[in-house]
Amino acid sequence: MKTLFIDTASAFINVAIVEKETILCHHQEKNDNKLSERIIDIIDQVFQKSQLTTKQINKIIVTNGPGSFTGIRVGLSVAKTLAWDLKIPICSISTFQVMASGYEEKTNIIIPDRLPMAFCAYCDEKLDLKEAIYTDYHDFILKNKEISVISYANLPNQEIKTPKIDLIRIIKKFSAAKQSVYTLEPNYLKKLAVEQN
Amino acid sequence: MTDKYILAIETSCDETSVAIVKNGSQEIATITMSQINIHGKFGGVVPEIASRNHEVNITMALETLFEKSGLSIKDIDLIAVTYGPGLIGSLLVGLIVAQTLAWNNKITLVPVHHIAGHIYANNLENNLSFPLIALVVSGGHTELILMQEDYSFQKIGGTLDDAVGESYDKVARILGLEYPGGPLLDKLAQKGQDSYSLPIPLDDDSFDFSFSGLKSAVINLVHNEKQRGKTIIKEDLATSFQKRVVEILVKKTMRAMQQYQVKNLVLAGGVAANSELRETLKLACLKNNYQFFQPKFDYCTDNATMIGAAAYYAYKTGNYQKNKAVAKSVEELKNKI
Repeated sequence: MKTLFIDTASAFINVAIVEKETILCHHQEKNDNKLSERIIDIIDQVFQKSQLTTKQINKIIVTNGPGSFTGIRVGLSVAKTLAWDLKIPICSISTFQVMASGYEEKTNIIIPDRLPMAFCAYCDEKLDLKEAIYTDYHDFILKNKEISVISYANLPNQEIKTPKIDLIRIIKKFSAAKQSVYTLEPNYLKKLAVEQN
Repeated sequence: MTDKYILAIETSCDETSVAIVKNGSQEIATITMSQINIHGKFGGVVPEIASRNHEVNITMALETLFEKSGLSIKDIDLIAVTYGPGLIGSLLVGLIVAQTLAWNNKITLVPVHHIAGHIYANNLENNLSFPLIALVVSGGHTELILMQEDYSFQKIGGTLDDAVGESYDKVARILGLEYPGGPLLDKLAQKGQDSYSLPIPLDDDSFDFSFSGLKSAVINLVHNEKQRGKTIIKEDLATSFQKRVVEILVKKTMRAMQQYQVKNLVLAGGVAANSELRETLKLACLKNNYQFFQPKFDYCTDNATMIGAAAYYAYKTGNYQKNKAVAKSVEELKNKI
């Protein structure tokens, strides 16, 4: 069972191929504004380093947000097209779950937008998402004060832990999950200004 | 060249369109999912919403396309995709999908300029004859382009401000018509008299166009009539506006035909569906003994079929960047790459 993992929604691009308990290749790089031009090359390299062809992949796991709108769409477009073309199962997971996957404890996860507004989530020790909301991060952290705060960004006067990714844990947790490639949708978590009226 | 089956993807604005085209002239199948109803309530296309809908719809569009055509990806020789100009977020979705399919199946990717697509929409009816002049009129473009041969483009004029379709939609809004108001304005204009005094926009020796002044003239006229307590005769105002627009488009196009000694005229783009423009150009061509090409109504608005048609000639003439596709929101139609 080989899984292709694609995460392009947050501050780092993560592309990996995992077979059972082994990470065959994990490429991580900073997510700058060249994502759309780079993504196919990155995935191609990961396949080359793993010495695999796309036909040997059994499943795709992709992050569907929240995060950069373009990042979400680029990742989903590649993942959905590939899953459709290869006729293999696909499953989407939250960016929050990826960021918290290296922590076996309760966590607050913060993805800054226009501070103090941020995408905020509360994850339990089993990596289940208990709450995800677009709000002022101060208010959110106050609700669950005693838990660690995870973020790629430095938040003023706030102790922060850097996100840690545990790919094996993610792939295990979502081993049975799958969605229809036609109805799999992004989760932007934030409404557009025009939609609010 | 052996037969080429081209899978084409067009997502530059608010239509998610995919098509399979054979040899640049034969439509095998096309699926177009329009977002008009979604954007209608906002009075225009909202870029972020357009992009989101492309992402949601495109896989289903592809599945339906292959089902309808009876073909599979293994039958495809080239993949064509619009790389620009257009809404950047919308273009990106089509480009990523096209690149993924091309990479996974080792198929050559041919990025196509949107305007080249509009021109080659005519090739789906009859093969184009050269040299030709193309009048490209849509919601985003108003351009006169000279072509000496296949896939060779020379821009000889264009709009300095609003595109003609854009000014139609804006004037339609002033008249209280629903979005997209262009086609409704055209219908309304057929019922009215040319009774309002409006200026002929940018009536000079250049091949450029300007429509924002004419739009302002309509706004001022409506405002002044209201101040005087007079009611606007909408049909008449629509007629007067349409007459001025068509008059200048036809005048400059015909002058370009004479100056460049060209005998073939191609009409392209969404506004090519405009009844008055089609009729007036047809008559002018008949009078001057020019050959007139106009696209089928289905091929006037944005569609992937035309992108597939253009891609065949881009490939045949080597006018595409191999393995490189970068979305460009603003991009001139280049002579040669």
